[in-house]
Amino acid sequence: MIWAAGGFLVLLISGTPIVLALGIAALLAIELTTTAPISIVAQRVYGGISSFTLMAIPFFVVSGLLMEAGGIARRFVTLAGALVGWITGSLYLVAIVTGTGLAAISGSGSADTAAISAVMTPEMRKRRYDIDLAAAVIAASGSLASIIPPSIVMIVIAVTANQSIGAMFLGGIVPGLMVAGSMMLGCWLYARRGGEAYRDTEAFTGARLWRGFVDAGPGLLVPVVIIGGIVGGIFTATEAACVALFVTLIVTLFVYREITVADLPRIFLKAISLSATVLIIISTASVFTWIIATQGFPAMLKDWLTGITDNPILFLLIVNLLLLVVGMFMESISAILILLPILLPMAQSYGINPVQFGIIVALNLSIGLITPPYGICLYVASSVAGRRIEQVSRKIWLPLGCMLIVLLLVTYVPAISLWLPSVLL
Amino acid sequence: MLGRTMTGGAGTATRSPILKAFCLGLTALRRLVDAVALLLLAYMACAILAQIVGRYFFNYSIAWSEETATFAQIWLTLLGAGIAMRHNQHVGVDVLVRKLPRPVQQACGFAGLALGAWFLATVVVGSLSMLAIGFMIKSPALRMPMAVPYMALPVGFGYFLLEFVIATIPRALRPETIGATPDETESAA
Repeated sequence: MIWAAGGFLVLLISGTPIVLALGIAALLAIELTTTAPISIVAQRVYGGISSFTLMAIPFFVVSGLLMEAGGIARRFVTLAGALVGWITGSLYLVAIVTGTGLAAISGSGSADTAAISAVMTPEMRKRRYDIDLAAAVIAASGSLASIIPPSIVMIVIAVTANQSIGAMFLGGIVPGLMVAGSMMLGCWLYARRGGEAYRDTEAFTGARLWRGFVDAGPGLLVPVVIIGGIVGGIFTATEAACVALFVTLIVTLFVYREITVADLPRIFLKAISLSATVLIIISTASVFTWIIATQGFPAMLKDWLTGITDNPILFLLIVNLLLLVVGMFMESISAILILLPILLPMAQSYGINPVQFGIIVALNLSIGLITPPYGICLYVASSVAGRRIEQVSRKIWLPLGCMLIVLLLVTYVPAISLWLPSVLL
Repeated sequence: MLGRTMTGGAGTATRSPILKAFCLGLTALRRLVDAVALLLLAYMACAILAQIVGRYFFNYSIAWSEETATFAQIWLTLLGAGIAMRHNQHVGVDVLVRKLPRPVQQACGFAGLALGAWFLATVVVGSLSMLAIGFMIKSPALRMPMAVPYMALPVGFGYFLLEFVIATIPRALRPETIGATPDETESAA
């Protein structure tokens, strides 16, 4: 146990890729503390990825990247501009609405952040917006991708916790929209007391909204297919992801026509490579979780934590603090694979619904995407804006505060995450 | 990227005929891996689409599509891990190690290289005994030998090991280049 955990931490801070740090630490622990045959490693690695459900991940990554290359971000920015461009501090709100829309198409926070940043930052700079706050808001809007379906993080949580992907996806919708809504409110309040730059808005016209909607409309088919297909019981999540891929292919090649068939191999290979980084972590992490489980670590932690408190409210508070700290330093997928198998049985013993618990985990980890020092969305937004992480971090309190408030509500009001799945499924 | 040749420390490769041959071989291997990965992805998507179409339009359940697509996914993931290594896309936390003195960074780099290679080689070796059994047991739907998906382990992890060594040696020698590549800003999650 000490070997596995200690080895992992040392390797992690020494810059070894997480996928290998997990494998090496597990192998050290197996070699030093057990007599298990070494082929167990290969068997666990295979067992970790031999799953039909996980196939949804490469499909969603492909369709997300295709949409991005096909110019969906620009179209969503135009539509969002028509929707909220008349409000004070309009560009912040446009970024948030665009982030929400992209989150409904792609499952990847950093890709969404990069897409919004690329389209919005020049305009924000031109209109003399506070560029650090802009980058912070864009990072947070991008991080919505792990809460609003389809979400890679949610798929991994659902598979690890043995819950239905459909329930997890639906459970994330209300919390995701609450984060978007509270950030819009926060930005509006900030902009109202801000400088003259924020009052430079465009009038609302129905014609403009209609044009924006027609232009972005085909892209909106993707969330309709995914949510409609899963809610209607037409598809499994994997099938929905596959249909979403074909819909995206048709929309980008024949409707938007910004990419051609010749661009496909490049985009597909990028998607293969990105989704492999997720799936291979799942595979080596299954060696790691196996060895810490055989050494009784989850039971130890459970005894320790239940010794501290038998109060579910306090338990959830501890879990949230733990996940927020872990999210600051660790990448989401490996954090889920290591911690969820330990935390979920405890949560269930306190009577917490596993779907709600999964949403809490996803929300915590999406906050981890925007918190320094290791927040990938914060990193991407800062580098596109040409600002240092420390500069943008000073303005992160606004979106971070909104996300923390929603996290508290989701933690203590089960209905926020459970109402929609209970009505629709 | 398709046809992208040597990266990193192998830039001096053209000097020696052995290295030159190695580079040519590597480029060919990478193109082959890319092409196979693309075919696997296309197969997976088509197999699942066929399953949906079969169920709703022909009222016919295709038993083999799910199984073969899952096998394709295993191959795709394991080959993709090496492709991701080539593009430096496996996330790691290198903020702390970069603050250390250069010799310590180099030592960390080589320790990571040795340990990583040890783990990857262990999977390759361990999978060989799985493979031997895999020729005897058959898959549930198609009665295909399980060696077909198991074979992805030695092949995929072998390729991963190759790309890991190629990517890590120059980074261990010159730690100051770590984190200089734009690829690191991308993540699937």
